[in-house]
Amino acid sequence: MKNMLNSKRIHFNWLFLSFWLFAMIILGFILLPLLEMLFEQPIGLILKVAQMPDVTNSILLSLEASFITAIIAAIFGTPLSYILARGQFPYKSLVEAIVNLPLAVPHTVAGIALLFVFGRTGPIGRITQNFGISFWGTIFGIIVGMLFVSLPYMVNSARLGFESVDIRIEKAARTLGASNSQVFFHISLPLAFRSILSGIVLTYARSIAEFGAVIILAYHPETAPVKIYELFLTGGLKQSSAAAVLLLIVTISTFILFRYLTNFNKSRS
Amino acid sequence: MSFLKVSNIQAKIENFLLKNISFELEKGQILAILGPSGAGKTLLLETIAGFYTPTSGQIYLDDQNITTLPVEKREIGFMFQDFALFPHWTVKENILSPIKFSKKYKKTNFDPEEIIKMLHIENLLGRYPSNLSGGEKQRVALARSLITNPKMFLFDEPMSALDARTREELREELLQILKKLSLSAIYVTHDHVEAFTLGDLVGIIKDGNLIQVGEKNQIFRKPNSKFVADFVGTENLFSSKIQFIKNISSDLSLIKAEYNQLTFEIYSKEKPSLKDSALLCIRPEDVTFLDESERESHNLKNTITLEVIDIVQIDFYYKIFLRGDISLKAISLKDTIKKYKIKIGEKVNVHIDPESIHIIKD
Repeated sequence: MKNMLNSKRIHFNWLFLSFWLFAMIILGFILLPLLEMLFEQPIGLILKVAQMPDVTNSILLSLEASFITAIIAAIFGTPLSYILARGQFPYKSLVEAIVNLPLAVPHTVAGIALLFVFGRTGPIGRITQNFGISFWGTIFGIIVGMLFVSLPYMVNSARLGFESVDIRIEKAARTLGASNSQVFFHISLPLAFRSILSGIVLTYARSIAEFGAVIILAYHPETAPVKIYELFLTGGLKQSSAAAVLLLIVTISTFILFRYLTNFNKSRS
Repeated sequence: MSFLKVSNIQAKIENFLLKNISFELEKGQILAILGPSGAGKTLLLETIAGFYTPTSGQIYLDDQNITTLPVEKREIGFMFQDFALFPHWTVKENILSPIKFSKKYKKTNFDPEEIIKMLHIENLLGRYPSNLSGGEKQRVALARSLITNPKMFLFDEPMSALDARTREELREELLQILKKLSLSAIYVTHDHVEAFTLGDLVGIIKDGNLIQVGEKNQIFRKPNSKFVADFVGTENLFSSKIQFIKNISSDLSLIKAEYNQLTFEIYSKEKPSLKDSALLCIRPEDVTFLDESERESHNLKNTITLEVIDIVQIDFYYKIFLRGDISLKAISLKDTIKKYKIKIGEKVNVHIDPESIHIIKD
């Protein structure tokens, strides 16, 4: 029985065929520029760029800042996503709108707004300066910029995860003697863990890509997108595209690694 | 006081209102609450379990007022739809989860080993819930609840997702376990077969109101409203005029009621007023057949000749649709159909016992 083929569809489906045509166009639109750029670069040039310390440092900085951002987003975003998934409270839709606001704000605008709070004269920047922490031109500024623009991905993803946990399973735990916090840590969190992990991956990917908010808060130290922009302005397409390909290779491989890890988790459960 | 006493509870959850619900349950009794979907069944159970606090009224369990006690302190087992096992834990981890949640369950009367043995789930312990059949899930969920030594159980349509045959088996098994441990339970369902096989008492709920609650025979034979009559399968309901009332004994009256120029004679404990309209309830199994000789020799009351319109087989019995001065539905077994030569298009004599007609004041 195992070797039996699936039954074939009897009727040819024109709708699906036409949808596939549209889908191919979209997929091509995404892949073509990236592949074109990838294959246009001579390997020698990529290797040469990979040996430039300012380029490699910028890529490492991007990876580091994005990773820290993703962890902070998970720690602060998960409670909010649980509240949104389970809580019924007045003005809930307003809170939802606030969560999604960074998606609508132009990122340079976000950067400027963040400066008002985290800049040297801003309410938070002024306080942290006393402890020697400045957000202007430091990795902290980069993280703040990345966090602002990527939080919606974390919150929405984790929220979907919590919503997909059958509420009756949580209620059952309560009738079996679990307190609210035990329900969260023993039931809801483990069951939504894959979605939270996927939120972390999305946040990480979005953070690596961030340019607009970061460049306003911290032109230096340069993250990879800023470095590539600078190379584009000073050295033109040739220099910048080699660095771009390098960043692409690094980000895609980390992205694939994280995806693999989250899917690995899925296949286990 | 009764073991469980729910007294006049009202609860408002979002836009739904539970209105003045009262009933009592003795130890070891099972109350089946029957109602259409959206009637407030789940809400009522979850209010008793403590997920919602009633806006007024009291709930007493085992002489303790539990109205405002948090869920985990109520000592009430809850069986959810599809049994709500923890999907990321093995059967063993599921069963022992109460002990993980609270140390107080280490010292209950129930020994986990004994429960596992009693419910025959020794060989499932290493499996995950996704690999269990409906019956196995029920046993695991029961075992998991029993570890907490609950004072009573609440069941929220746990079997509604299963097929009819499995449901029947699980019902039987569940009933045995509950009776063996003499556990009180409230079982909520929209399936009246389920309600009447499981419940010692049956309650009917509609739009947040518990319309009628009582011994199951009472609900079955003496529904207090058209809705209840309809819901428990009294398929023949006729609005009639009361023409005559005469007391036969201290609590029994002879009543004559007219419907469509037919006069029914009824022996009833109800006391409708003369000239009032009243709903006559005749259960389809109370419509009996007579052949010509029986009809002449017995000289029975409430005998009518009707035409057979249709005969439909349902499981092992037949539903017979009759039409004439009155339209009736009757239920019979195969041998009755043979004996009285009941065929579509033929005329038959039917008889309704005056004691089996129930009257509801309109």
